[in-house]
Amino acid sequence: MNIKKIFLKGLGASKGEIEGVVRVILPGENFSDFKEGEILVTTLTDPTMVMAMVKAAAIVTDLGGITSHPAILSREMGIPCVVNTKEATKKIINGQTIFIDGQKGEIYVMD
Amino acid sequence: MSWIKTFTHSSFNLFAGNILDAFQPLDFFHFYPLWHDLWVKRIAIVIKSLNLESKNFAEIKHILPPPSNMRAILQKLIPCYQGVKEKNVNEYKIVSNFFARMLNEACPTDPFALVSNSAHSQQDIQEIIKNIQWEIGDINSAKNNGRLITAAGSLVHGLYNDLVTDFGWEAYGPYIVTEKENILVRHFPDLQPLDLWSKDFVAPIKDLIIYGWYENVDWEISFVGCHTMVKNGDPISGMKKFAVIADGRYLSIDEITSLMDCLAQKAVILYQDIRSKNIEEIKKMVLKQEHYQLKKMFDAANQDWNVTPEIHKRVEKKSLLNNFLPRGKILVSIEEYKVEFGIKYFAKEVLGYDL
Repeated sequence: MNIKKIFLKGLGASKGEIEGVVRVILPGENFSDFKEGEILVTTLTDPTMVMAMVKAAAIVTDLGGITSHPAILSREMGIPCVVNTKEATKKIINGQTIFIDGQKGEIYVMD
Repeated sequence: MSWIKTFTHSSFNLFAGNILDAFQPLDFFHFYPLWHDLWVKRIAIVIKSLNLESKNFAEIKHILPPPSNMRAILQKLIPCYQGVKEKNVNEYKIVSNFFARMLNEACPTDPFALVSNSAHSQQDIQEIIKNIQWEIGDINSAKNNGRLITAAGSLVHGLYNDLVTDFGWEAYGPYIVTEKENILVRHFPDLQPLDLWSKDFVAPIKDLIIYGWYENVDWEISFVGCHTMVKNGDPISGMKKFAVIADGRYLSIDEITSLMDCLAQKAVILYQDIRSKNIEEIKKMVLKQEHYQLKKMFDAANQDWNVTPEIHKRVEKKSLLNNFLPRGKILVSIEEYKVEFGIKYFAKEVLGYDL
């Protein structure tokens, strides 16, 4: 694993480690082409995003806590989740490859 | 020892690591005090009229909401007390003591879901172990079950919102089978609340139960009793057996996948509808959702469960409160929680207990 640096830190809401390609979805955006295995990065998931959530390899949000919508459902699906990063949707860009530690709440940018 | 002490430790779990802004579509803690005293008064009248204070849980469980709801009722009633207009001590005491006692009888080992939501008796658990038609689980079926829970849970988040989500979602357990094995029972008891939503938005089935049998996975059912935390192990590779029952019928793998798609699509259109509402419409929806959870109790007392004009008037065109409870702040200390959420205040003023 070739980790570049810790990029963001939030609350670890569902444990697990995974590397994957980011797809940022902002409220109201169309995400019908969300691909299986992408990492969903958004402000805070809500039920309109469920079709993307069930395909996601991991979820990262700006807001939320360990009892928020993304956290609860990530745990049910057994995928890593980091919430309350404050600025994930601002700092992480589409297509970027990141590594997530869902226990520590850490997000790394990969080379 | 008062129940409020146990309640405090359990309820803190809901807020440790959370912020009020994450509750959607409305930060209900700054909304409820506008009207909640009037609702508590109505609940107290129903408790008195049905003489519920002298009845045990087994006698009246058919008119009560599920355990998570009773916890969530207290979770809102207690912190909001510090902000309500009329502090009717006696009514708050009647209502809070009643729901606390019901929880003590419904889930005697852990009434406020500190680490578990054990509402099944040992006999119930033995029957689940023996009588459920268990399917052998693997990684794919475990992922599929997780996705089904996600779809159903997302629909519930719209049907009941963060206000009374627990009305439609219970996670019971963990029930120990052997030293390494345990069972969880996820129950969605009402996916068709037609008093709240039109047929277009509700699920094609009313009742959904998902049984999971796990090996080397340590669970906690915390917060209010509807959500899981994995303490150790992997819930996907660790799911050894499962069964999914919808309206009393076992579902095949293909049927589970179809149901997952259907519930996910319903969740999307329902939440789009909610997001199209203005703040006044959302307030009305929230009031109705909160009242609906005690429908059976009100029906039993021949009382109308619907929101009264007086309550509507209290909230119409009124801003959410902003003079108490921390916004945008993650609480880390239980002492801070007791003070900031008015738990200490409620314990002293209503229950006469120094917390």
